[in-house]
Amino acid sequence: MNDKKHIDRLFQEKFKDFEATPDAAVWHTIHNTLHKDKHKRRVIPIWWFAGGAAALLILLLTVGNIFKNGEAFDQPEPHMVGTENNQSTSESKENSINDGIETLSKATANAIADTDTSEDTYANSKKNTYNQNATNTGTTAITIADDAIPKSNSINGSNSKAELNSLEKDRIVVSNSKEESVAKNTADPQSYNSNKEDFNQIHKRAKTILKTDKAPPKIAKVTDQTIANDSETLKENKELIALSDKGENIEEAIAKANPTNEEEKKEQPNRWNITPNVAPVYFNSLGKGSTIANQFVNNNKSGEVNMSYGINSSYAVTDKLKLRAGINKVNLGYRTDGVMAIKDVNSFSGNASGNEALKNITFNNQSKSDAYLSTSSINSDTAPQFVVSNLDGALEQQFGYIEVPLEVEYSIIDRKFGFNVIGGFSTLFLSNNDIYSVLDSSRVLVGEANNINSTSYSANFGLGFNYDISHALKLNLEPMFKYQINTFTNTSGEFRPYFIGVYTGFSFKF
Amino acid sequence: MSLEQLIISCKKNDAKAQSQIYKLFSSKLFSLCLKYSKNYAEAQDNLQDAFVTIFKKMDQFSHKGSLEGWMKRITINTALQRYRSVGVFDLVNEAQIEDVEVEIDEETISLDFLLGIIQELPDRYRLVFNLYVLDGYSHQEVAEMLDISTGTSKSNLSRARMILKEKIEHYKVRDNSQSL
Repeated sequence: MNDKKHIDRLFQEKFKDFEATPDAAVWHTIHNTLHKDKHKRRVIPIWWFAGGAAALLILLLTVGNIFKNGEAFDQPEPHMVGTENNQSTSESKENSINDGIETLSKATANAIADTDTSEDTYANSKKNTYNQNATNTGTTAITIADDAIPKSNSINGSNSKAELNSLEKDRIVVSNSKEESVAKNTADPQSYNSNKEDFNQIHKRAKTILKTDKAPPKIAKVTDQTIANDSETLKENKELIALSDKGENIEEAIAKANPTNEEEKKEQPNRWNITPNVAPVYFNSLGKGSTIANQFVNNNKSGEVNMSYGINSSYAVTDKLKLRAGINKVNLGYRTDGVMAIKDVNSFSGNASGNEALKNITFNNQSKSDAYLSTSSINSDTAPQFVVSNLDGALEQQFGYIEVPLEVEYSIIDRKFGFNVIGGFSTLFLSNNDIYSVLDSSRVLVGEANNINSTSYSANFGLGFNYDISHALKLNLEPMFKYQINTFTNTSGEFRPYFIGVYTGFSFKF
Repeated sequence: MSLEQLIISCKKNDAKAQSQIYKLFSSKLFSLCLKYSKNYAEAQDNLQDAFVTIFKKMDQFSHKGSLEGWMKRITINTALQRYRSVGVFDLVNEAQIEDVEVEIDEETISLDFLLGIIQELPDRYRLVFNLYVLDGYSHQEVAEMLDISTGTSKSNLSRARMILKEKIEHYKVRDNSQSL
C-alpha cells in the first residue's frame, strides 16, 4: 500500500523545484515601463515619418495632377500656335531685313569695289528684299532692286550706316583709282547727310554698272525662283493665321495640330474620389483580458456597437490601385459584466481604500470612495445575502477617437458592380474617455481610464463592394477589420482590442 | 558578468543588465506568481509588476541577504498587495476550526493539477497556504502580512488543506474510474 503522507509534504516536495517560463511579452512590457521615455522617442518618430511620407506622396500626386491638367489645357491653345508662328515669321522677317541691309550694303560696297562679283551679291540682296516686302510683286530684277534699295536705306539705322562707313573706309584703304571721288566723300563721316548722299551715289553707280553689264538675264531667273518660293511660304503662313483667327474652328485646329491629344484625354479617367461615410462599429478584444483591473480578467465582456462617421478621399494611382486617406470620428466601448459596486467603502472599514486595485481608473471626486469588485471573487454560497443580490452590475468603458486612415485599395472586379480589397493603417487620436458604473437601468460616470494612450494605431483590412449609380456616383459598402495597436498600457491578461465597422457611403468622382 | 556587476549596472537602469537579471530569475519568480495567483494571466501581471518594482528599487538592495531572497519577498508582496484591498470584505465565514492533520495517499499527481487546485482556492486560503506551507512563513508572520489574526491564519490554513484533500481524492476517484 501507499504511504500515508501529510498533504503539506506532498505540496512541498512537488513545488520544491517548480519553475515556469513566462511569455516573452512580459519582458517587453517590463522593459517598456522602465524605459518609457526612450521607447516613446524611438517609436513615435518612425510612425510620424511614415505618416509624413504618405502625406508628402499624396501632396505630390495632388500637385502633379493639377499641373498635368494645366498642361492639357494649355497645349491646345490655338493662339499659342498662331502667335508663335507669327512671331517666328516676324522675327525671321526682321532678321532678313537686317541681313538684307547688311548684305546689301556689303553688296553695294563690293559692287563698287569690283563689278565682277556684283551678280551674286545682287541676287542675295534681292532675295532679302523680297522677304521684307512680301506683297511686292515686281516683274524685273532691276525694278525690284530699285524699290528695295531706297527702302532698306530708310529702315537702315545709324548702325548699318556706321557699318557701311567702316566698310567703305576699308575699301578706301584698298581703293581703286575709279572711286577716288567716293573715297573723298566718305573720308568726311561727320556729316550725316553727306553720308546719305554718298550711299545713294554708290547705289546709283552700282545700278549703272549692273545695267551696263551682261548679267541681268541671269539675275532675273534666280529672282523669279526665289519669288515663287517665298510666295509659297507666305501662303502657308497666311493659312495658319487665318485658322487661328477663326474662333469657332479652334477645336478643329487643335485636332489638326495635335491629333493625339484628344485620345489621351479620353483614356484618362477622373482620378479623384471623395467619399463621406458612416458606419456602425463593434468593439471587442481578442483574448481574455481587462483594461481596468486584473480582477476582471475572467469576467464576461460584451462589445458595444457605436457609430463612426467621416470623409475619405482617394486617388487612383493606376486603374487597379487607389491610395486613400481621410478623417473619421469613431466611438468605441465595451462592458464588463459581473461587477459589484460598493458605495462609500470607507464606512465599511478604515484600513484600505477599495480602489487601490483599480489603479487604471482616475476617479472623479464623487466616486473616490466607491469600490468595484469582480463578483467572481465572491463565493455566493458563503457571502451575505445583500451582496449576492447585488451581483449583476457592470462597468462600461467608452472612448472615442479622431481616426486618420491611410489605406491602399486594390480593385479585383471593376464593372457596374465592383469588388476590391483594402489594407492600410490608421492613426487614432483619443478624443473622449469615460468609465461608467451600470446597475439595472442607472448609469453613473465614475471617472476615466488613465491607461489609454493619447495616440495609437490600427492595422486595417477590409473588403469593398461598390455599385455604379452613374458615371460620377458610386454606392460603397466596406466591411473593415481594424486591429488596434498601442491602445492601452498596463492591461491585465490578454486584452487585444479590435473593432469591426461596415462603412457605407456614396463616392463622388471628380 | 558577475551578479555583483549586474546589480551595479541595474542600479544605473542599464537595460542589458536588467535583461540578464530577468533571464536569471524570471522562471523562479514566475512559479511563485503562479502559486499566488488565480490564473496564468494574473500571474503574468504579477510578475510584470514585481520586476518593475525590483528594478526601480534596485538601489535599495543592501546585499544583506541574497538577491534572490530579496526579489522573492518583493514578488510575494506584490501578489499580496493585489488582495489586500479586496481583503477588507471579509466574506468568508470566519468561525475558527481546529488544526487537523490531513493525510493523503501518495500517488503520482501532476504538478499542473496541484497548481490548478491551489489557484482554485479562495484568495485568502490560497495566500495563507502558500505563505505557510510553501514559503515557510510562521503563522505570526502570515497574520502580520495579511493583517489578520494568527487564529484566522491557522483556521484558513486548515480549511485550505481540507479543500485540497477533497479535490485530490475526487481527482483520484475520477482517475481510477477512467482507468478501469
